[in-house]
Amino acid sequence: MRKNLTFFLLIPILFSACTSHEYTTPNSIEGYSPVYSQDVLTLKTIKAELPRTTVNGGKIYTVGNLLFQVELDSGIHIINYANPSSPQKLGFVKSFLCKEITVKNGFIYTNNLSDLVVIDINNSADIREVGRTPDVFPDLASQYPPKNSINQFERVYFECPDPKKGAVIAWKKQTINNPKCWR
Amino acid sequence: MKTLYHLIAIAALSAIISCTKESTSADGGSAGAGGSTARFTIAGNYLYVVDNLSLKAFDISSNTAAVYKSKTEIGINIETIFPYQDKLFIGSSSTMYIYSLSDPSRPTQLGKAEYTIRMACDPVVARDSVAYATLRSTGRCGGSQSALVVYNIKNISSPQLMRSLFMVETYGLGIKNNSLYVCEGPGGIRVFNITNTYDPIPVSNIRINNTTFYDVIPYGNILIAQVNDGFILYDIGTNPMQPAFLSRILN
Repeated sequence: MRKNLTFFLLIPILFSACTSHEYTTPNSIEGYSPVYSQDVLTLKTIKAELPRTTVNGGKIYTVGNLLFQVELDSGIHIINYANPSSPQKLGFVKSFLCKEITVKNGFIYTNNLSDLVVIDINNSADIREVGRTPDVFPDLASQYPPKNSINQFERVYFECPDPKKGAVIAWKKQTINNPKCWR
Repeated sequence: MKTLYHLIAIAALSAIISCTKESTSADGGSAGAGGSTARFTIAGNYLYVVDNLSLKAFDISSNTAAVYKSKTEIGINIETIFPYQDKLFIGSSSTMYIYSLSDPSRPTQLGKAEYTIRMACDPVVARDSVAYATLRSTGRCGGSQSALVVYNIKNISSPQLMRSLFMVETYGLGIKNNSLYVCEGPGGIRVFNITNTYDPIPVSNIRINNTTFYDVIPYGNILIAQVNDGFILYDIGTNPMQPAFLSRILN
């Protein structure tokens, strides 16, 4: 997350020209504020669930007839494509803030918040976390609010998350005052 | 889920028997393959992770825990990591780095090539003496243009830029035999003939309305495409230059 230092550098220009709406930090604007969760135990729970619909398809990994696809920020779809004309979802492994995936010898390596976790999927009746290394992905844990999908260059303002309040689990669109963060 | 164990067993067996893997070859016994936009990868008994600034190595030989081994500062805006043979190809917003895994616990830099185009995302794939990277202008990475760039890596310590092909919006990419697949976001997949390794020739384009293509894995006879709402499978066994639609996951 970038603090809007540019703003301070631009103050003289703003006073002289008053042209650049784009570079001002607004007093009050439609932006995003973080929704926090203190329930870190739930956020750090890795578990197998029933297949679910893919909404935001993320990164992919394949081995043999299995395809693993990240569901952005939620977990991993496990798909059997032995018949590539009709792939079948086998299940879903929940991992909050999941973005990355690789697999070896029946073990999934992924991120859960900023931690690297190892998930044993060799026994489908007992899919579970078997290892965790904290803070391997510091930059994956700081969630950002979504960009405008039509205009990627449009600046999105948001309240800077405060780690003391918990983990950011979502963003709420609302009017915010003097936002210090943008992307 | 109950058939999962058997499927994994079958998968492992078929991987050993067929050795179909095309684009990654450094991940030990699993014979799996990831996309080109990954931020971590397995090579042998090690897991390599890139964050914004550095490359970290973890020993995963115990299967149950990743044991931290080393951290190497690389540069800024590191985006992607791709294993090939005993090397790692690492893409940043301005540079392609090549690291040796001769000591897998502590990768060392072999060479690098700075892009002339600044501030772009850049997945890299490599084979033999060539590396292909895409640079992208739009989205969070800034910059002003998208391109497919081709490097001669015969002299690994100083990759030589052979071609820059300007494109609309590039994402991940993958190689099978003489075909190079480059994702163009809403523009679909562009297929290049790379019979002449350093001179990719565009031969076909797959495009589907309202579908954004982010990355591909050519895996045996199947091309797996990561799209915004899931994935699409194509047959590339019949004619790798003309991927044929097989299926799209719908739920």
